[in-house]
Amino acid sequence: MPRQVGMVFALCALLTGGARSAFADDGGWNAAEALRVYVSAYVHSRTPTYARQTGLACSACHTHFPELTATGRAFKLNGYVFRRSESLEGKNPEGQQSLLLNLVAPVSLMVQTSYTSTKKAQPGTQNGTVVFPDQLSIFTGGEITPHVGGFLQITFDPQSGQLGVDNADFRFATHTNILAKRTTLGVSLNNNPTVQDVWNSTPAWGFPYGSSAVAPTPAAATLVDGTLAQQVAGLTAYTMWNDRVYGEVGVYRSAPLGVLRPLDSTATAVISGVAPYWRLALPNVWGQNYLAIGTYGMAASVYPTGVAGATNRFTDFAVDIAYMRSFGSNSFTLDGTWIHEKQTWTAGGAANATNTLRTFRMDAMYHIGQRYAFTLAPFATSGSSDSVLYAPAPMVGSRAGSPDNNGLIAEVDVMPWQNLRLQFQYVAYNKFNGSSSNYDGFGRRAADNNTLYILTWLLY
Amino acid sequence: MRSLINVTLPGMGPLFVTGALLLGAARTEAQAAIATIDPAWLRADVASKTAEFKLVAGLTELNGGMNFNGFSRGALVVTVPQGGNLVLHFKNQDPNLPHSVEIIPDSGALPSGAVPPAFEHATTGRLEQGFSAGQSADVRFVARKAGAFLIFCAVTGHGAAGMWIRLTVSATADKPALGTAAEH
Repeated sequence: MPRQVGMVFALCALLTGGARSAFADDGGWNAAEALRVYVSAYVHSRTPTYARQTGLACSACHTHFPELTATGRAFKLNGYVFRRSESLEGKNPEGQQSLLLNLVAPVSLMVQTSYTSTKKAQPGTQNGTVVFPDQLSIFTGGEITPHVGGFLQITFDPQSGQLGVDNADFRFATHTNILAKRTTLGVSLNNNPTVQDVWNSTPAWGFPYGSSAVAPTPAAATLVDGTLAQQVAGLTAYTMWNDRVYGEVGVYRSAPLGVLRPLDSTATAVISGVAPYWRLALPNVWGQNYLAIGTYGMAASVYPTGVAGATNRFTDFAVDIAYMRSFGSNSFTLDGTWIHEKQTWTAGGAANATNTLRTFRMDAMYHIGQRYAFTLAPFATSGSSDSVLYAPAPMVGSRAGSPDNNGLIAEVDVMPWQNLRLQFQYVAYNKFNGSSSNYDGFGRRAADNNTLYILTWLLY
Repeated sequence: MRSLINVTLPGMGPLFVTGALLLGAARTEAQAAIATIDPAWLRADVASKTAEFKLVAGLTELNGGMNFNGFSRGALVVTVPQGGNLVLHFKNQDPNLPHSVEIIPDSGALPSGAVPPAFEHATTGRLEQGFSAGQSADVRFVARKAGAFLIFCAVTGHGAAGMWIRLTVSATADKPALGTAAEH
């Protein structure tokens, strides 16, 4: 979860216009409170619930979870309904099927335990943080009816001590023929833009799949890059034609958790009306190669506070690529995305009237069988300097008022069993919040935030 | 096992929810149907020593659709003479999952995914990614060596989950044949 803290501050800055308070120790948005909401926004995992339903090993749907294989993509696209386990069936007096329930309870558990060490301790804190559990999640989902299935994650956040709704995706899917080619048609109800996507190149299921919640992370993030996770409800309609063209359109509306409803003048970061979302991807297979190139994005007008008045406008346009090649039992995968965001601060909250923010991420992963994976993942964010959005503050602020950051993640994953991962990750920063040295105006270097993150990840 | 269920909700009076509940099997009901061999699946041309076999993935709901021609776990046996040509006309009819085909040796433990084929060209290609519903491919190879082999779905996890039937290359058979065997 390297972007979690970043998302916290990004949300403050982008949506509430409260960048100053976000960066201030005693601001209206403090990091701990924000983390309570967002700490699980970038939990990337899938669930043994599906393995129990399908009777397939994890490796049928994942290279290394949560990265999807062809089977995993098909399973999700078709509504999570494929099943080989026994079921309880109900019929009405006319003999028509009216109930179909898994006999195996569709519940599974995830436990993560981690160790985080930064190159230089965060000011006033003890370095070498053990979090046990780093994350505790309960999953449920799978086939609900022959055409409806879902995925729901409930997560315990150790920093707040609270249990909350994490990612959720419920969908209906059916099939037809269009131009004599098989076509999948579906509708998804979800709470995180891109969580419904079947590729690991988009933010919700993108690399890194597990990362530190306690290490410093850069301040800026775009709207579609997890900022709205669990703060919205979205309804999207999608189609996959002939396994060659995927299209999706939908809308998201604010649905924050843990606040009074209906939303009123006390609410913050409320989307005006709905935020449109769109997605287009073109997958192709040749030989042992799989390639999908695509584009996605969304636009939202956001009230900094309350539910009326001026709004700030955020428009995200992104492109992505997902590639996989098999080498017998080994495989190589590459996922990447580039997101461009235009920000218009009509309602204030920034020094500039308009800003831009660009994020690039790519990960190249080599899988040795199902047991080992080696990953290199460069990342970079750049954008307009803004002295309000990115103000100086110890460790988390920017001396130059810049969102720029870049660096490299190196990771080794060992999976002695398909549902147990040992992850060794090192995040190296070349630039952090605008500079390599004294980036925060308080003498901290970007490299001081280099992070060693060791994670044990159990799913059962 | 059948049972009638009446459910009474507080304040709502009796609510007859369903006529009957059948425990244990929506799709296992389909599995209970006995798969039968269609002789039209196999066609032989004695002159050219060529056997053509219509190979359909997901023909029925048996094994969640992970079957060839309605058979899984080796329950269908294709026998061809050694040295003959075998053409597999493969089509995926499984609405849920992609599938592929390769011929592998029957050497005991099932691989989890693609392995080198037992005969040159004895694969559909796209072994890991598979072919989605409605897509098809032809596999043509010469059954040069006698022995026991598997017609195997090489999409990761599918073969290991039972999506395979048997291929016997016989040094004594003079014509191709289809038969059944006990599931493995």
